[in-house]
Amino acid sequence: MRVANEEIFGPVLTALTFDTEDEALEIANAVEYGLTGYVWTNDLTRALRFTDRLEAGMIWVNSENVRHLPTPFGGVKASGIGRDGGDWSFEFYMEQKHIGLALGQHHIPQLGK
Amino acid sequence: MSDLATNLARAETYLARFKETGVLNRIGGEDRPAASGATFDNASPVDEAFLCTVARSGAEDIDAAARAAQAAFPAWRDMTGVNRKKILHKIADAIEARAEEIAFAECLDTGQAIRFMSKAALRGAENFRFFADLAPGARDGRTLPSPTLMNITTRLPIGPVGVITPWNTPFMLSTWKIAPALAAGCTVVHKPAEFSPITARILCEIAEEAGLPPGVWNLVNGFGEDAGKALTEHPAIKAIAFVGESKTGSMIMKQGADTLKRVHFELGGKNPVIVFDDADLDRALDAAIFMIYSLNGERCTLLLPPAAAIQHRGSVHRKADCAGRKHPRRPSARPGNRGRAAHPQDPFRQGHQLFRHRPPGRRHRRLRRGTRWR
Repeated sequence: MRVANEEIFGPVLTALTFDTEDEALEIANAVEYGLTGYVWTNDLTRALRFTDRLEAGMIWVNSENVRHLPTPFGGVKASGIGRDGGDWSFEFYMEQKHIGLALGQHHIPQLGK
Repeated sequence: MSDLATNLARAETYLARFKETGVLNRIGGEDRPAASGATFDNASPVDEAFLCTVARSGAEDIDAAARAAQAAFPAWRDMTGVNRKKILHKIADAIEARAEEIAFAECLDTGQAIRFMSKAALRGAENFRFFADLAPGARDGRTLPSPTLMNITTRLPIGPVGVITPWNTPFMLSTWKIAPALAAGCTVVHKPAEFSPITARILCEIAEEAGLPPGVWNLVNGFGEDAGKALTEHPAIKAIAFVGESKTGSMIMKQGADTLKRVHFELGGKNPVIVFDDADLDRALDAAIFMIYSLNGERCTLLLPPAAAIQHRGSVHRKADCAGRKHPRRPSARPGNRGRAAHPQDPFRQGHQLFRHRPPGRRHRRLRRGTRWR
């Protein structure tokens, strides 16, 4: 259903129904985006099971989006590439560099010998 | 005067200078119009009133900004993290000092309601403080000893970076992308969305007044197809951080391919809310309503819109009806009025997308509260 799959960026909330957990997951994961998901349940094991399979970069359980700056922010699928927040921001803006320093006179192979 | 009249009068005072000079670029610590002299008009989405002209920049302006960022890079990279931290905290102080100006400018430029934008400056300052405190440890690495070598890692800033931000909450998102770049030791060329350029200009001024060296942060205004494109293709720019539409992200990736740009994309979303029948339905409903309606659905990033609520059968009709009733009733109220929770939907920026989604079979009716699809 187009209205449930395309980003509208307007005040439109689509309400759909499901009977089983698998069906809910199928509907949620059918969207081409994967920024966030919100799961409302008081069943702890269901929350763990469901969040593990839900395709989204960020998931809140029994909560609206509450930003905590050290946590990774970003989406999967068509919602983005990379993460912001805490050290993840530095991973994007910086380059890793490796430096190896010899501890002593280790054996260096001599070509042809 | 009413709150609204007082707020509008103050907003007018803050924006008066932009009416005179327009929004200029800031390159290497200097105000500059577009090299071509071109400008475009910036109107408020509230009532389409003219706010100011804006520099309509092209490849030549981007080149000047990228060179300025490149020239400023070595000194900024080599400044100690502790000193970068001090400057970033000063920027946060100055943002807080000008919070009201930022909030009012943001309201008129984006059409968002004052009750949400009044916090934009504080959240922006918080972003600067958070990354300021991380700056001294940004280069920290690991030690991975092997039998013959002491292996160490460190991190270095990638170089001058391009930052492209969207029109929905431009101030907050500019700080969110730029503060970590500066903390890491990168220099920046910022291209804000053409629809809401004012607070990005204020932010850049604040940063330089707070002691950021000239050229570390450059601001170039204009459209995606000329200024944005030139930025994504410039060889001196090593990475592009972009927040916006998925389609634009894909274009940026193509444009950046020749210069092997690193990209960071925060794109669209259609975020499901899955409500099971054992949940606290009232809390779930309040959360969903707040997130989808508080910025009139114009959230893709920081407060994410739950665009599809999927619920266990049975609870659904009651909730859908509640959602219809809870939607703010005066969506076209002016954003300077503190009591209003919703703001005008921008017909040019968003209307086309909104009204494409009419109920099937009811082509002549617009979306209205509580509309049910079948």
